Amino acid sequence: MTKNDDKLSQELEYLLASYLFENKLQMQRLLSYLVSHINSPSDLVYDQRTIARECLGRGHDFDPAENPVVRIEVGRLRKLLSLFYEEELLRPYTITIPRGQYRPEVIIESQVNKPKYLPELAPSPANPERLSVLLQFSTEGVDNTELYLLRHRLRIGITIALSRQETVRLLVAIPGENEKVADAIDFIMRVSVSSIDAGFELSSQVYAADSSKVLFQERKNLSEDYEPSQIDELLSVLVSELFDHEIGKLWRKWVIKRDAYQKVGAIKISALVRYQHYLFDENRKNVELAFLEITNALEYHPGDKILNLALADLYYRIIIHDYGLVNDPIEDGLTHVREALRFSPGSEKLHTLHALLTMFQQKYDYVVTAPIRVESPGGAKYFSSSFHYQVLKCLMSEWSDGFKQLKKLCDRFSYYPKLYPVLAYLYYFLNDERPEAEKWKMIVIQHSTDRAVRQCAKYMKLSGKWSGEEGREILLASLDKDMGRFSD
Amino acid sequence: MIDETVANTESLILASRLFRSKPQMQRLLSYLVMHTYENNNDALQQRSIAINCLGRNDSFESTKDPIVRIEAARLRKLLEAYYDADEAQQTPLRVSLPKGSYRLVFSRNIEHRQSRSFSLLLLCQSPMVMNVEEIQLMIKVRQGLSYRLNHFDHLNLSVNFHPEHEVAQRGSIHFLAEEQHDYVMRCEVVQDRNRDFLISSIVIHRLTQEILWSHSTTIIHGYTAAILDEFYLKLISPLVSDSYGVLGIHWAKSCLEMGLEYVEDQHMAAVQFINLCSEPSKIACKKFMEFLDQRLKKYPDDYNAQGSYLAIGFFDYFLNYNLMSSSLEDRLKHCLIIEKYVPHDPGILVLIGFYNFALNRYCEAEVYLNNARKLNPYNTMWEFIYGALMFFVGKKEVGFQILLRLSKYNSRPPSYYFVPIFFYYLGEKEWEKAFKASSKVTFADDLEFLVKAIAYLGVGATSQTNTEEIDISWLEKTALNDYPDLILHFNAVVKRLNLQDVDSGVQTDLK
Repeated sequence: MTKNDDKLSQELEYLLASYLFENKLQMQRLLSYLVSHINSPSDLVYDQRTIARECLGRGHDFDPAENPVVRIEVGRLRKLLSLFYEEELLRPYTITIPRGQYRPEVIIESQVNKPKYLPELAPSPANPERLSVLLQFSTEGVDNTELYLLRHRLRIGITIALSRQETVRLLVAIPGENEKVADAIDFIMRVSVSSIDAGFELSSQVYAADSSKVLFQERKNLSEDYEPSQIDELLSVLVSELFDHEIGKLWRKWVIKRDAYQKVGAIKISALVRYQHYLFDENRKNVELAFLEITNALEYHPGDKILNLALADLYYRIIIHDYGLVNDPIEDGLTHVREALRFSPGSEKLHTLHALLTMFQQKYDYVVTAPIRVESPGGAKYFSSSFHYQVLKCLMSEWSDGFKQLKKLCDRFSYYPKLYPVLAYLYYFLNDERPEAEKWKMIVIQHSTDRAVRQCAKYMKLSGKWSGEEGREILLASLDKDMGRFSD
Repeated sequence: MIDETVANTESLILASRLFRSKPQMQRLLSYLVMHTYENNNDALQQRSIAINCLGRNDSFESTKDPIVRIEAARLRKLLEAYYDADEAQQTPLRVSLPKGSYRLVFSRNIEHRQSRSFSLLLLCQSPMVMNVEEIQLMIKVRQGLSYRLNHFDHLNLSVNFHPEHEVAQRGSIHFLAEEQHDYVMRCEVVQDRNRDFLISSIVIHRLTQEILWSHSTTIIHGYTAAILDEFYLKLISPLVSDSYGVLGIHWAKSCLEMGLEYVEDQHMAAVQFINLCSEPSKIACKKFMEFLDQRLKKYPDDYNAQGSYLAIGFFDYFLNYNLMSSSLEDRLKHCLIIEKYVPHDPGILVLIGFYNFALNRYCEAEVYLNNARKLNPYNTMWEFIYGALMFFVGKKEVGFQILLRLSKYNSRPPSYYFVPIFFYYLGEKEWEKAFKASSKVTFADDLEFLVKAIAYLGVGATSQTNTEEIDISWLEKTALNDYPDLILHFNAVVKRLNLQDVDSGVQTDLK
């Protein structure tokens, strides 16, 4: 090791000037002596006798066997040095005195650990209103080009899908970073790919970041000659099951994790927890609580994109379920959605909500029935965004395709939101398929979502024999008759 | 004495749930805030803190009494906890106590910490007396542009969705713009007699009311999604994407003219980067690096600034500036760390692709560039980089076809678009086209010299080449190794061309 004398003496000066050394003349003397002789070829300068004589004011008769002063003082110095370098993290040199010798050693901080050209990127502060997930990838067995490509397809697919969710904060582990976990992470998702006979196996596991307990895991196979659309399909299921606001398992865990925030008056988070509770269990009581808390939180955080999105969604649900919370929900809702869109013009969910609310306003000509997601055909899709898009299609009188897709979607996830029976009943009723209509009518009554049926019939685009205001009156009357009078 | 934001921050922290019941912590924080602010070094030593703030007397010895270190560690933890909590969002500044010192660090809280760029207001309108078809297309265009423009992270986009503003009125464009909008873009949809649509778009610089761009396109009555897609690309490519587009370049230029000292700190990185993209030069690179050094010392979590720093490597490599001392591997590693925290940023992926390319890992380079294109499929600049790299790693035709397609969208592309085209025509022995392409390469330094040098060498005018300016760069090596008969053919080409046209940059069709 070559030691630049200039830089080393600068370091020495810095040390001596620090608060640890400034009032300790003996320590200063000792340190200066030891460091300044560091390049001396002779070991004599580090003899206990010499040190005692030169720095500690002892005479020629000093006998190290009788007097331990050098050992004690150097011990003190070692402690001081280690204390100093613990606090001063960014020194170019580190001076230590290894045990068993008095000659100091100088470690030059290597370039690799501390790149001088750029500071390490500090992670941005945690934001607990979002769900944070760290994504890790690995390959089991021998890596090859095919696996590498597949891994990247999955990785970018998940990244794009999650970047569409304003509420999810995604971190992707750097290659080789396996056990390290960045701070302020809620969940860790590990995806691994491996080659099996004539194809690939993908497995995904989700852990809680703080307990490393496995929460969910899944395995899927892909044939060797898979189509990119198969990956989209696979990822749609994966991201929906985990991250979708309506069916995602991780949101249920998140709600529990964020429970404590409610007690400390973190209004934004507690409002979002309320909203989430409503999505899990759609009823009037929950929507009222969620609506109150979200509007309240927005007063403190105007312009917050996540809160705005939640409120827009609540307006839609207040309208379609006819919860009667607001006097003029369609007008208020549209005003709000437009305001929210102003600052999140790329939000696919807001565009769908905008189209839905315009439909409720009965300006059917101005409804863009192909919201953004249709324009970008590739990529994973979330359950709930697909669901409400198909609802829009049904209500815009595109029942035959809309309902078919709706059914397919719900069957695939084996999840049927409370709106599903409402639309199923309407669909079969309009098509005059009595037995099916009867079946779904019972479920509607059981869920007490009969108001939603009436609400849809009141506003949706009608065609054929139901078109015109007269047709709508007849439809409403015959629905009333079929379901029995509505309970108020 | 203390400025208002600092005082405000301090009082918010002191009143917070975490600090409310801890008088010792309150005292220590106030003491450190005051002396940090007054830059009072002596007061920030352990001994002074112990005596003046923590109630120790003159006999205090820091070796025997660890009180200051313990209390400082407590404060450090408490501050971190404070900023993790929800209530901190109202706090204008972030206060932290770095390890190994008793000097507080003030920085702007969260969103203020990232470098950002200009903002644009998009208005879509139809005429006063409108028909349904006009308004339908207008709504579609508004949605399509909203979605696409939102993919550009450097652009702070807001879009007006209010129906009362959907009708074109005189002056409404100025009336609707607010102070935070640097630029306003208006698209108006009008139907003509053949029932086709005319979309006219203009972009205005709000401050000077200068019209920077105007354009009109006819969209046929039975338009398809593909026709609209092309319309969007022809707007986006020259306006916001190639070298950050007309808007970016105008913004950067007007900031530079105003003088850098008037530009807000968080805009500086973007201003300098866009400037570098449109006119690369060694001096600009150097200055930019110096600025970023300072900026990143203050805000190490500004990933945009970090990304800019690594992007300088792009110029450093291709234009042979040799300003960066760290190895390509180190820089790649650094990119990967940034990607960890912002995996959705296509710019970082492009950089990872580039560094892999520079390290001859072509497979990885292609994968990352493809991923960037998936994240923002509308950015023609990423498309160019992808096409160019494909070209240079041996997929010549694939790359060239991409470059040709791009030239459809932007009639006046940045001059570096012509570099791969120049080489392509050299390879195809299309001397005339190659020569024309070379004349379009106008750079502030090395690359222009090189391309021109090759041309001049061709005519035997060696005296005009400033050989000292040219290093043996990869470009030159490529040129001389791959095209040994270059000089002969140049002679032929130049004889046929009028020599005076070499520098005039005559309008030529790429095809």
